[in-house]
Amino acid sequence: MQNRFGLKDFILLFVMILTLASIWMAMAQDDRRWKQNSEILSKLASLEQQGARLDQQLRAGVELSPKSIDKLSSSISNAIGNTLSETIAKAGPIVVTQNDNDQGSKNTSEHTGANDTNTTSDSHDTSWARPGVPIEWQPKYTFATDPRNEPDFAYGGELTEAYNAQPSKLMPVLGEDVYSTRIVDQVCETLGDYDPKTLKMRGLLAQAWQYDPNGMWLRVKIRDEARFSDGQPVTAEDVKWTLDEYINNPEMETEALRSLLTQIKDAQVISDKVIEFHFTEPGAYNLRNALGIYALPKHFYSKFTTTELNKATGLVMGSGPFKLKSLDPDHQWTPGEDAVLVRNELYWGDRSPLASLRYRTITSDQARLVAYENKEVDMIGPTSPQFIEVPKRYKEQGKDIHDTTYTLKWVNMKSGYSFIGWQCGKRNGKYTPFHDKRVRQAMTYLLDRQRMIDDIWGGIGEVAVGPNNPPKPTADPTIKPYPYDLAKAKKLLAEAGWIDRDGDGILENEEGDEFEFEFTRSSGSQISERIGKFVVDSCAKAGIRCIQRPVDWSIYDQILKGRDFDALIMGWSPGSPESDPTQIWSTKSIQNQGNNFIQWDAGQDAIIDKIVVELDEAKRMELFHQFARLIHEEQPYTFIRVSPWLRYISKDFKNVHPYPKSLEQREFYMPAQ
Amino acid sequence: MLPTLLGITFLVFMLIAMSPGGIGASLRRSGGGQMSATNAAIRQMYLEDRYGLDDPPVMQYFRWLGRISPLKFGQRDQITPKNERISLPRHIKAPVLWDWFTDSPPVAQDIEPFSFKPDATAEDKAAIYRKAKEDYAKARSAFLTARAIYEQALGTYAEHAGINKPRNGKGKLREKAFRAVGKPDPSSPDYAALHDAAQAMLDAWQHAENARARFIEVFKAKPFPEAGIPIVPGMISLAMPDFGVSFTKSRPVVELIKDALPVTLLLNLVAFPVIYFISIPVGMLSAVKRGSSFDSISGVVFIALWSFPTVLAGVLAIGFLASNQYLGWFPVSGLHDKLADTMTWLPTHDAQGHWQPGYVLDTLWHICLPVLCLVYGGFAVLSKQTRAAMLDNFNADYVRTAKAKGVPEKDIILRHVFRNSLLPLITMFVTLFPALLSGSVIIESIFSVPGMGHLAIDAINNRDRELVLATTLMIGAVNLLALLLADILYAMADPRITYE
Repeated sequence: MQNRFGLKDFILLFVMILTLASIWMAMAQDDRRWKQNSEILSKLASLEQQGARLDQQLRAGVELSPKSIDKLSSSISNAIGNTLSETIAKAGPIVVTQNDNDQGSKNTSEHTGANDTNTTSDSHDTSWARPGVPIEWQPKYTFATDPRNEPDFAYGGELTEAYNAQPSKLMPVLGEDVYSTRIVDQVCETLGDYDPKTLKMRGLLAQAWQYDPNGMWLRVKIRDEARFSDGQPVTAEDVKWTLDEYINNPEMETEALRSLLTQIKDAQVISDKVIEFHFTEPGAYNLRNALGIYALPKHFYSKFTTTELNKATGLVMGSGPFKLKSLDPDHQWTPGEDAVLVRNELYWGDRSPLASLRYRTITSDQARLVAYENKEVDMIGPTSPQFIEVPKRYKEQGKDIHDTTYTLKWVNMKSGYSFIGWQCGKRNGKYTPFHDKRVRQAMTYLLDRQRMIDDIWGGIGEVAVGPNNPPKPTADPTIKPYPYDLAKAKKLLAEAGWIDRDGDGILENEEGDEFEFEFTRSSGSQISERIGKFVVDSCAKAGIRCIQRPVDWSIYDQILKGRDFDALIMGWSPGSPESDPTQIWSTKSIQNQGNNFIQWDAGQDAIIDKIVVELDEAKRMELFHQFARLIHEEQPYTFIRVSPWLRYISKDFKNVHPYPKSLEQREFYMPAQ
Repeated sequence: MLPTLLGITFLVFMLIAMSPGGIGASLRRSGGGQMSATNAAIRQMYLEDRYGLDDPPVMQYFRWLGRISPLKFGQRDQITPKNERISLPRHIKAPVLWDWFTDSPPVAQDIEPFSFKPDATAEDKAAIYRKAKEDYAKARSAFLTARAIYEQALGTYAEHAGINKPRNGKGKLREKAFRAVGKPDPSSPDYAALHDAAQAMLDAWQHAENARARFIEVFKAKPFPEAGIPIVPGMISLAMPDFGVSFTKSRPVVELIKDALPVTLLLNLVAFPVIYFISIPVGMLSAVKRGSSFDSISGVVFIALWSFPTVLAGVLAIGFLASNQYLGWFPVSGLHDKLADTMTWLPTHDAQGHWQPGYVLDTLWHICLPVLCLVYGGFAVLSKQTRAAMLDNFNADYVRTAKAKGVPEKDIILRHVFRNSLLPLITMFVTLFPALLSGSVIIESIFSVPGMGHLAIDAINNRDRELVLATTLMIGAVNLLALLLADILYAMADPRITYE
């Protein structure tokens, strides 16, 4: 008989597999130890490097801030008398410079803008500057709210943030999604950034700049102390390399940013720390665009080919307060893992209190909330229903959510708005009813937007007044949203010729055509479904027949480009306090399938063309307000809601402030136990 | 087998190409943000050029086929020392209506044949190649920019010239509409701008053709070793298939699959043995004790589990088993603990003598809930199959003979009946096997597991050509392999089956 596979064979096989498995396990264990060892060794190496640098610096002489030199000299003078201390202060290895470091600690909150330092600017070295053009000295970019004087302040701790979607890659510029950008922004720094409180552009890596009064060039002085996380100084060459070889290199997949920077003609290295940008034509946004360029370390990135950079997922290095734990090109971070940033101990500015930031992706809304309540993560963005329901549930259980959680709800510069866009031009060769301004105003009057927000979004959000809403400086604070007023809407419609002529409850115009329009909305979302129903009901009250047209997101773009709609719901979200109005509003964007898809043309170009070349900020804001009033009068969109940011952040952390810019994780701290 | 695979991929590809938006819809969507029309057009031009999105879908499919085919025709690719595969540059596509502004398309001029000096080192060659490549990239991108501006000018002209629907739904200029109206009228106010844009475009085109010819010369001088093995020198060669780069994630498809596959495999390799170890013994027992309360209770429980929707189960599992408000036994998200990086591989005691779970146990603990959701629905089918197959055999003649011979009951069940009931189980295994690799979209999204299901759905939502085709090819191939495996296993399990 054939020898069959019996119990003994089975046991033998099992034991064999077990042995092999345990050998493999032991090898894996050893591998891991090896990896940890090498990690420790590399950390040690960087510490040694740091030690050597400190040593070198000590030998070369140390800059002391005036405050500490005061202390030093007073203590010395107490001991040995005035005359000697003066000589000490001026001679020897101790070099005294008027350093703007000193304003870091206490009085930051009083320093708000660039103008504060003008008083001290005399003492700055100005040899780098072009003569005759005023220099804008920048105060050191530091914590918006300094935590270091709090009694329980401590360094250390980790903040875990849960993201709704996977960051695509941790690469500057190449990782285009919002999550990648947020992480990269902690690591890479730009020449200038917006002040978290005032939203004014101020120097980050830039110590000062000179901007041509005619707007054709910008000369930037980079801070002497600025350095990358490996200790190498940030130089003008790095900035130039970033622009020429990283962003403007056609072999790099950076075209999204590249096509926004077309007005920067070139960058010229003046000296080690001074760079000058030249523009093709003067423009209001040239300053912002030039200062918004990352300074990437040339010595690090030029080691790689463009192909390697394009497909890299975790090669982000910069001069920011945090850095990636490991920059080994063979073991990069990949989407799916937690992204972990550790404090950059060599940071040139004020060290961040937190030792590390961790980003975890949790795609399910419910899982995100549970993970937060389990303390697996410290910060989430709850959905609007969660934001309303969770505090109620806590109350039912006799607890207060505010004991453990910062429940933040605020509008900041990145808050978007949703709107209904009315087709002001022709659709398929024929004007829609919304061609008439009075009809558009009537539509706004008959939509009770506060009720929409209450019913659809649970009361979270504010009625939007225009493309720019407070706290943005571009919003005109005097404008109030249209109230809900059905009678007024009907009156306006009647003025425009829409009257119920045959008594069937539907309005007709003089030709007897009924007022009927198509409302395009995205399918598959509950919110858009409810908006659709609300609009249909509201229109019915005024005698307008509205037909819903739910379409998939993927063909929205075609509809927009073909201008093939009567009305549609959409949203815009800005990335900065001031968005260039040309793209969405200018009549130039009607042509060639641009973003003025509602084909609105009411003489707005006169204002927009002035805005984009006005270099003076105050005057530009005045123009923006004028533009806001025009939009308010014309109602090309019915602005529905400004969507605030919602955050739950654990009270294990302190110094958590919602700023008009966004959140500043770099200044959070975990109190000492 | 090969024709089937090609058929599957072709069908899937064409379906996606014909869906609203078409291939690369997501690229256009993200390109539509707050950009001026010209900038958006330039960006789109770059993207389409890089990924060949402006070609007809069938052509895109065949180009993909050419890349994944191990048999290569024509000039062989070369491999750089950094292991990057480089090939001849693609043609420069002629812009629409170029014949309105010039008589013949530009051809490369003054290109002298190029060869490396005999004493050129590898670095020298690489440097010359890099220079030629850079020059070509710059010239080509300058041409693309000029072309985008030219097309915008055409669009502006068309709107004023009253051309009916100058653009199609994807924003492309419709050549026919223009031809219907005829050559532009020089007296039109837009003509000057159009003419200038066309001239700039033609100049850039000429430069790009020159740079391309130069680049081809350098490429033909072979700065790097060639890829693959020649079969007919200069014409046919064998080389590794190239699955290309996903254009929504701009990473090589192979790498994306390499990241996602282990995750899915880990889940399924834990889940499948659990299903088998529970449902087969239960199926056997219920066959042996047919009609007993065990039989009916296990049947009811398994069917109930089978009919319970996974979405709800996942949500309940997170809400009750993972939430600290209730049981809080399991973690909610991720595959590893925050401290996983510093954990040892195996369980150990730390310096204070506390027990540490180690990396392996930590991972197993984290995958408990997803595995639970994968597993619970699988019991019913397998146990019922086992039960039915066993019952069939219980009534067979040889069982009665064995009983009559006095073979112990246990031996009858394990040695005779169970072995003969294996055939249907093999069939079951084959249908389950491909699921092992394709992953479960629902479970992966509830538990934030970055596996294959996620990847495939993302690819389809974004109309990501390379990723869709690669995952389809992979899952198709695995399915076919599983069928083949089943046939082989049949022959092994049942001596009566032979494949002559």
